Amino acid sequence: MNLDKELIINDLDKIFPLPEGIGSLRVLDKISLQLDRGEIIAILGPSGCGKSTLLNILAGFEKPNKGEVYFKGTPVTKPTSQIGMVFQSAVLFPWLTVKGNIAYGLRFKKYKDKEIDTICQQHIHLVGLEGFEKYYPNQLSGGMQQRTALARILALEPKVLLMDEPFASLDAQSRITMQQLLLSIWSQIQPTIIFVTHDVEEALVLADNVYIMSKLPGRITHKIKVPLGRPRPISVIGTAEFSKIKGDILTLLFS
Amino acid sequence: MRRFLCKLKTNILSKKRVNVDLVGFIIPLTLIVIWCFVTLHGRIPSYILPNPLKLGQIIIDFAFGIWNLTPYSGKLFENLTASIIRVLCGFGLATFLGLALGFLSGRIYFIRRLSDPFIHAIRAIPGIGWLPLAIVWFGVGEETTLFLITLAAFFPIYTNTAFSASQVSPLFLRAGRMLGANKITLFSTIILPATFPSIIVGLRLGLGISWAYLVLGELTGVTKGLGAVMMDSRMLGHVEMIITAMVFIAILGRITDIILVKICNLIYPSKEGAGGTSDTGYLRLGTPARS
Repeated sequence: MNLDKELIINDLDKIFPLPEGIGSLRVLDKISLQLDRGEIIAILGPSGCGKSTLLNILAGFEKPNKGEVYFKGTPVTKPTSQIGMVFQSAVLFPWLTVKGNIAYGLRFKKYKDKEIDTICQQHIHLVGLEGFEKYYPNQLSGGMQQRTALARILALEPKVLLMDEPFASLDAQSRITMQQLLLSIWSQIQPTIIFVTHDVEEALVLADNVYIMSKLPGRITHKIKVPLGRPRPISVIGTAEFSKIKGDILTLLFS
Repeated sequence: MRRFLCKLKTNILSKKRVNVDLVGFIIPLTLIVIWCFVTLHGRIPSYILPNPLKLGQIIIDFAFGIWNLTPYSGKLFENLTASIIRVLCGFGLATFLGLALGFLSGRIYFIRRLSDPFIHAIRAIPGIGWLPLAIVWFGVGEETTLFLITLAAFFPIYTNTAFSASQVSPLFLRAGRMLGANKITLFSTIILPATFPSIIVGLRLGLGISWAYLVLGELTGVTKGLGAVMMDSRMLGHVEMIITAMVFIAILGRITDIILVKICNLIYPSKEGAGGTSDTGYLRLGTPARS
């Protein structure tokens, strides 16, 4: 096994029993991926192709029927703050403030109150939520909720970020802002990111490599290396190179 | 505590308290006028319904024992204490059992399958239907009252806790585990706060029912307590004392409800953002919705 890789996904199968008890549904079929440290990949695929299931297995929420996930050479079997997930909805705790949410995971570590304060402030600054520390989630816009969710997991210094269509429910402008925010955070701390999306442009703006998944059973059918440099400002969308590769991917998706 | 006092102050001073809807007073005031009219002019004799002034006197006499108008003159405190202790014991026991069993059956599927059908079958028997059996088991008086209060208050607490505990979003639990919570901290930091609003509804319903069953239990024969005062007064022909005891039960029921909500608010303060509107409040006083 290649121990240089940050995350190794080896031959994953996932089969769900059907509710009637007759037969079963193969959701993931021999998924294998390898990620370098600091790499950003995007997984594109039609809805219901098992993308979320894949992330749930990587996060340790679900167990595969076959295959393994290795993080820095050790198998992933249960959730850990080293591998952080940002869900499609922000999943903030509504009884805690923005700051309370960000501090949530820090309270389980051996930090003093003062250190928690400092780390919270750093991450509130990182995601641009200064002044909203005392707000409750239901008082925030969708974009601000996702910023809080991002800060909450980043505060625990995860090495891998799993992002399950986190910006899908945002309006077009917020989505672009959040993509740029994610890129700016990445340039500062360089986590490894697996970004699931059905938006080709989003995948191309963010990722080093784009993987295309097929309909059920979910298989990885193509790997496309994104030939765009970094930093990748929003203006990259207008370039001829971007349009060409976007066209190529759309052709692959709908062929 | 300081926070609590501050909030109380802003509550009292806030415009909401000043802008009382006067329409709400129309019916009570009309009734009082009619009450005065029919009693003061002797249409209804005072052994059926005393006039409001007399009742006011009796209430003050019951509390302070100034005029010796009834055999209960000045005996409010001892009867009140007896009743409050019974309610607190019964309600406390029901809260303990209701929360413990509620969380167990809400979170552990096997226990739900095991206990839910049984508990809901028992629940179908109205609390008052337990009275004869309770008297056989515990005799008239203290234990029967405690048993009836606990039994009746248990169900709303259990039902609300179990249901809301089973409805905690699995995403919250996943997020909590990912952020480092173990089984115990998952309960204290996610399941408990997520179910808290429903638990309060259950507790408030349970407390209201506690007062109802207190009166039922005390009617069967205890020496002290507001229910006993009512029953004895009926036999002694003091209808004004029956009404006086009813007034105090109403006041106590309301006060204990307010205290309960305040305690709950202290445990999990209402969601007041920087905007400071209490409209987003987690808990507000008022009638809980039945569920």
